[in-house]
Amino acid sequence: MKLALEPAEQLLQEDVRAFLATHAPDASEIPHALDDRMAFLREWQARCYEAGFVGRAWPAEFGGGGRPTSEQIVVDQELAAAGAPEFPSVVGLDVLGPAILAFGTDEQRARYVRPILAAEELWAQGFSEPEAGSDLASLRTTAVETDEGWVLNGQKTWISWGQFARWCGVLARTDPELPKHKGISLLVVDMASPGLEVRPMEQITGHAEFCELFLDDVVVPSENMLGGRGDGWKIAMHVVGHERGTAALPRQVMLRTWLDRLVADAAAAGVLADERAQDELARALIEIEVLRHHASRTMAAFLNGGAVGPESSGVKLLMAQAEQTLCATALDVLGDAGAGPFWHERYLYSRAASVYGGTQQIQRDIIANRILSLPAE
Amino acid sequence: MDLQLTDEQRWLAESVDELVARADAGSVWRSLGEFGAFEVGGDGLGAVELALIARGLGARLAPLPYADAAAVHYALDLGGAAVVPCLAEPGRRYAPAEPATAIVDGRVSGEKDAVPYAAAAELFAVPATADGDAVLAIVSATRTSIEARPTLDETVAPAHVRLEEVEPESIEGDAETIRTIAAAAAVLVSAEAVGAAGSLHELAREYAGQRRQFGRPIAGFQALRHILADMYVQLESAWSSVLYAAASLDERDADATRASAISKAYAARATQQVAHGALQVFGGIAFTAEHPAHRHLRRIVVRGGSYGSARDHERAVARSLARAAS
Ligand SMILES: Cc1cc2nc3c(=O)[nH]c(=O)nc-3n(C[C@H](O)[C@H](O)[C@H](O)COP(=O)(O)OP(=O)(O)OC[C@H]3O[C@@H](n4cnc5c(N)ncnc54)[C@H](O)[C@@H]3O)c2cc1C
Repeated sequence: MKLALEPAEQLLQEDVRAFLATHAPDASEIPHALDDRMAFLREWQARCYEAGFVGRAWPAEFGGGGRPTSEQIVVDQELAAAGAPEFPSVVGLDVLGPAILAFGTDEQRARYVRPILAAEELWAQGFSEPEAGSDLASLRTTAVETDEGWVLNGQKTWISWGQFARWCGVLARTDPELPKHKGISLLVVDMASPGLEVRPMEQITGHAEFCELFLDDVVVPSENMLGGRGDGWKIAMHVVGHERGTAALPRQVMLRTWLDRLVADAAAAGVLADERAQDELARALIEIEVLRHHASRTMAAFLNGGAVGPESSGVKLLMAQAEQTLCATALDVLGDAGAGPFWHERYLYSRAASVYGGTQQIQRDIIANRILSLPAE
Repeated sequence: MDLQLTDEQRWLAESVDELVARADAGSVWRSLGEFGAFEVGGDGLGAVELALIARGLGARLAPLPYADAAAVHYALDLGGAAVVPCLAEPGRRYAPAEPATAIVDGRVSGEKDAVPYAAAAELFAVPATADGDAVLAIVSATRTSIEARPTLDETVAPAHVRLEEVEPESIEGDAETIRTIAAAAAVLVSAEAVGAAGSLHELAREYAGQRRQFGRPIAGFQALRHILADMYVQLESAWSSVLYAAASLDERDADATRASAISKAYAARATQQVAHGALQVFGGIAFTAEHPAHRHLRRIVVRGGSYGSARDHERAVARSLARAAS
């Protein structure tokens, strides 16, 4: 049990702070139009990668820093604390990159990993379908083996940043005769392939951050399969656990910066003297702090070399809860007009926190089944 | 930040559990002393270890002022006495280091409220103001008048304690000592409540697997599975925050006082939700007096109110947020 940072981590923290003091973009510098914003953010990530702050714990031979995972967490928390913009490679960094490292061949690692870190190539996650959301294993997109490679047909949906992606990790059914979890494989699809159509969809926030994907006889080279034929489900479960667990630590820091902003906004609006407002803010802070405590405890096993297990579902539930409480508190304390565009957008987006990455109900199911071992329904 | 238990800490938790399981009610306190459960500081125990012991005792609903006494021993060496801190005062905001109780001409006078296990205590640790400064008076329980109050948990039996020109046994420490004891007390009673909630959750989990309705175990109903899953998250996250607050006390972290307020506020509410969930899972059986559920519920609610309620601690966090912004 140890709360204080190790000396090496402290030095790193100072390095990141010094870097951010000179390089972090001011919020006003970030272009508003989505295309310009993406270009700007790619440059930002590339600069951070050069400084050694992206993929710090990924293997050095594939472009990573080869350092302990705890160091990347120090970096991520510093970036979040400084209010630095999020990296555009988020899907590659959190989902597909770890999948390639864990299940890919050396050729695949050499081909795909470094461009993820340097933001040269963005990735999308093509898992969900119109008829397969929570029941992901019932997905219908098919991949048929031919002499030219795999031929894909089907439809994917809610694909975050699909319109900017160079590659998409698509789950497709390769063996329809096998039980539904067994017949699925993960294919790396070139987003420029003939027969592939991307349609951005406007979200409730007003931005088009996710897309529909239509696959019409899209040919994917045989060597683009990740892991073996039929490994798709196993890989998907591995990566979503990753996404659920490790994202929480930087996320809680970001929520903390939002809370600080909310307290300042409340003070500026003259409502901070109201004890009821203070109490609401305190309850929001408590949820964020407990998220930090709990994520740190459950992730310690992972940082010490263990796998991310079903405990990450508990972290995910707390993470969604803390974000939703905070954003609802902002609206309540500041009022609709006082909240303004910043909090309007965050409030709306916070409602997705209990849906994406596996809904709140699915997380509870995972806990009931895998941690509490309750007899099956 | 590493919140994993060490092997020694795991061993400690198991040993205490065995000790409590074996000893009869009359001798547990002495056994704990012999085991070294009050030996704090140096090579002895820190707040993390005390919290592990308090959780183990809470899991078995041991009717002992362990969390209370350990909080005092964490700050002062009183040789393992059954000492209970008197941190709340009737009709006043919960502020242990700003007591209205006063020392005049070397004698302590005042009123304290919600003092746990008052009838079982040998000594009281009483914050009092002397010449404008807060100090801690150690007072023999026999020199005070103890008045029982209505309570949900007769084992803890929080009482009203009146001091009229009581000559203290000694005067120890200052406002800082009081704050340390208050923070440790908040953390350790939270650990006890987490213990009580954890064993109740386990009982409810087992029951859900055995009880059948509509031709299948009730654990098969998703509505109950989700209640049990939420209880698990509440329990584990409350324990994480207790461990964090305990570690921050041990590391003399600048933020330790606030961390203890956060863990107390959160754990008090979370453990109560666990108890409510459990009662729902049990159905009617939990309303029979012989069923253990209500004893866990009572302990959780009353310990949630010991050394500042959830609201008291939320207020403290709220005030510090507002202060920092102005
Ligand atoms: C902002 C955002 C970004 C996303 N990005 C991506 C992405 O990049 N790539 C990708 O593949 N997907 C993405 N998703 C999709 C996301 O993973 C799905 O929305 C999610 O898995 C739920 O599926 P669904 O929307 O079909 O809802 P459904 O599965 O239809 O669920 C509807 C409701 O039914 C409940 N429900 C379903 N099954 C059960 C059950 N067994 N027991 C109890 N209740 C149940 C759910 O909890 C929910 O409340 C994104 C979603 C959002 C909101």
